Amino acid sequence: MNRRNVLKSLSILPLAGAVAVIPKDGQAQEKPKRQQWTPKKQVIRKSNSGGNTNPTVTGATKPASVLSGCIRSGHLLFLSGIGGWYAERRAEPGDIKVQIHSALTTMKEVLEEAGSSMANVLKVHMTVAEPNQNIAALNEAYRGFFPDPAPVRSYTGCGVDQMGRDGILVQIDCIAYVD
Amino acid sequence: MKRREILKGLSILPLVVSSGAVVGKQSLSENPNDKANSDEWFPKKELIKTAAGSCIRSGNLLFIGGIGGWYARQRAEPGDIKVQITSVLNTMKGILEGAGSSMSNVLKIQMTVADPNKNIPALNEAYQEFFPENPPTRSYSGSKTSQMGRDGILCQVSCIAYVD
Repeated sequence: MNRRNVLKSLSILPLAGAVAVIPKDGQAQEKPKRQQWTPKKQVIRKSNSGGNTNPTVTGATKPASVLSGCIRSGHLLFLSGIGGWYAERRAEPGDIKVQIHSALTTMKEVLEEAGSSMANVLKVHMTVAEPNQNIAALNEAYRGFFPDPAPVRSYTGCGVDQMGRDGILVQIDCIAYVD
Repeated sequence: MKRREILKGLSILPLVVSSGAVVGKQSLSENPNDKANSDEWFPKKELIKTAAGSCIRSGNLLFIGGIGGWYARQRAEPGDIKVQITSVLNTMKGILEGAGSSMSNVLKIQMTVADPNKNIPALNEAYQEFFPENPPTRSYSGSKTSQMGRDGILCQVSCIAYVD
């Protein structure tokens, strides 16, 4: 029994040594850990939609929106779904190519305004109306927006009458990094 | 028995040596950021169980899976979209608070909504009460009521939040 305990304590000793070393390393860092986590949650842009393209965050003249357009947390940027058509921007909704082009142009604007870029996009999620019909044309227009390597992507398909409002064919959001 | 314990002790030794080597390498690293980054990554993936449900934490991010607007064990009747989104967001609130976060820490929401053209305005009314200031980013997909996974359910909502 004694021997067993001796072995146990011996096996723990080196570990204790290692644990003791780590905090020393931590103290040697100039930046405290917490600084990595700023901002926790910063609204970069109130809205991405057509009616409110003015990026003024503090100009609270409009009623509170149900969502924020772009939020930064640490080195990540989260963008809300950007629709392919807003009546405030174009009279006609246009086809899927027109719409994805419009949505990705807005995404680019929002990202660049936040100090990021299309090259920094990590993950894209889309909702596409009638994807069997539309995804090929969407991809054609989509490719040109993202330099290699393109972000990961997933999408959900649905009917044209299930996009939230008439005329809209695509909604696209993303997560990107920012330095 | 003694032999077994000796073997155990021996089997731990190489591990100790290797972790010692890692520490040595870290302390030799010239870039302090390397160390900061490797220390920062905790937990890698931790399942957090709360009374309201579970979520996964990775670093300072929390991931909550899709919460349905109706579960038969919760209520007899599915209810309308307002009832359902309120139920979802109450559950979300419970999970976040159980995990040491809060609704004001939510960064991103993803929803699937049945018949959105009809349901989104009423959903938004109830939704807004849960996020009075700096609401999270949001996106959603629509579907028919018959494509929600099971009958009666009108919305499913997931989120990413931060936690200190």
